[in-house]
Amino acid sequence: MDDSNYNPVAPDPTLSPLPEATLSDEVTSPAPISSFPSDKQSLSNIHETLSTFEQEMKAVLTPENFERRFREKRRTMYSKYIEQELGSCLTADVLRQTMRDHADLLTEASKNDVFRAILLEDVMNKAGELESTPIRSAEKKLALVRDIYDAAEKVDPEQGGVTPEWAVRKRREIRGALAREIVASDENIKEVESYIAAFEQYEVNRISSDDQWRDGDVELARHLRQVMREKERGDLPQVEAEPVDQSLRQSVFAPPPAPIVSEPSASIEPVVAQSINPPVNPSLDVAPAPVAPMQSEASHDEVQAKPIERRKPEDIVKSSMSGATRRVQNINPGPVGTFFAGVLAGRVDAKSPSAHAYEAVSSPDDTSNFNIPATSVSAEPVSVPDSRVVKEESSEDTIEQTLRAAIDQIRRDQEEGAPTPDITNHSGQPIDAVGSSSSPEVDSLQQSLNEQGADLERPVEKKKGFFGKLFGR
Amino acid sequence: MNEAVHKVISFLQEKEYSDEDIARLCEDMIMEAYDEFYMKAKSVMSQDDMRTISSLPELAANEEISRIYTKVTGVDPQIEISKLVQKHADELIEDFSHSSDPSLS
Repeated sequence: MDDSNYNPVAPDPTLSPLPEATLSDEVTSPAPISSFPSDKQSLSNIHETLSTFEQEMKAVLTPENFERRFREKRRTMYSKYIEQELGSCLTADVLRQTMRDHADLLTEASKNDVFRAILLEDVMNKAGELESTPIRSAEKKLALVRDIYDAAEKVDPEQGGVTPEWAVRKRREIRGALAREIVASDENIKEVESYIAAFEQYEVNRISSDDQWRDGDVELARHLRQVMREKERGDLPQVEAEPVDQSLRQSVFAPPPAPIVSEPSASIEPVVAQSINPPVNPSLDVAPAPVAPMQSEASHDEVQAKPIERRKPEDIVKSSMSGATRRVQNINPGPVGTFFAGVLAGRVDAKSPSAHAYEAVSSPDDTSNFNIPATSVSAEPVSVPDSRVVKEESSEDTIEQTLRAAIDQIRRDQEEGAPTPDITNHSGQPIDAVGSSSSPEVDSLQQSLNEQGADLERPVEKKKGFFGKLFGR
Repeated sequence: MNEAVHKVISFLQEKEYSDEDIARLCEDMIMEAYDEFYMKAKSVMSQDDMRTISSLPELAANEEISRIYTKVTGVDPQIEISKLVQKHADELIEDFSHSSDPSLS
């Protein structure tokens, strides 16, 4: 599809511009399709947002940059919309019809590997939930997959689409994986045998004697028959042996770049977002509390200053971080939204479960800890799982801030008469009074980290489950 | 992450955008990073993973998200978020480097 000729922006003239509200006004209950609640939006809201985006950005960007940004924005919003729509479908047929009703959106979302993979996973999971038997479920899944690849075929491969040959091969892989998954379970054999028998009767007579078979998937039946024969011969390999083309995933999750330089998470403003915007109950259909105009956050001196004087960058960072945190919390109160908001606010530190003790000693309204991480004070050594070793490459700034936070904690404890806790670094290694670890421990830690770092070079471990096999997750 | 946002702010201030516009652009930029992270996280985790995570309290859920994301992608999600913010900051600077009109409407 020629993207330059595609204009989905058809703003409803009766709607007044509400660019902020579009992302949050319709937050209701989490979508049932998965545990991820996503933006609940209407098409008119999406079009309104895109229209506003277009008006604003077209004036300031070069045509090429505008086109790229606009395409990304449109694709993201459409993908989320489709995801949202899938959640409300109660049967696989309705699910498929919904997708067809939004063929243009589907095509748009199919231009991108990530979105396509998500679509595939979502619709297949959804179809699996909605059908009563494994084979009927597989039929619906394959039909939905066909729709998705048909949409992707309409897109120039140079623009993220797929060739017909690629789509056929991928569908065959999925069909084969489904057939193997079904046959692998002895509980399904009776149904499989019945299905194949009906198929062979259809094959001979070219008519369906069974109404149920009328909707059967010939290719699935052939695959099932082949896999059944393999099973009877004892040749049925484990499902993991299914050849999988991982190109889809590789383009998204390339191997991690070698040295990962950890940025000091400490400088993230930790609690101001909460103080301005208390968490919103996702079950309530309420708009976010209005944030005070940014200028009102300026000090009295700044108000009196010359007109050209700028706000401090830190103030703008606070404002934008707070605004983004509020929007994330409002549009996506699920775990990922909470996680992201936590990272923005400096509240998330995966490697130190005890880090959140910080929150207990910080007033929600206290923004004075802007540069102090919520990560550093540990009353007892904390072991670091291998999977999180990446974060151990702390910057010097982070170490300094760690010590500052630890010293503050000790002072507070001393004032309260509490015994002085052991101060540890991120790995639970004791740190002495001048902030340095003893040499043997440092050497040992360094060696340990090196070893763990080497582990990270291993290929990404596959996740189990159907899509784990299919996409190498 | 803050460094990336600071860089954007300095750049846009030099371009003489208003503070309000700068704050809005930065906020949108962070939201773009969030959208991308959300999509990645969504594709990394299975439904079973998410059911488990949803049943956990926030602290444990965050740890589980970190653990799974790191295990599957080899990248700490916090670092991933920082990188995404950095990426979108670079893109924004690149996009606006050709602009001479400091107004968004």
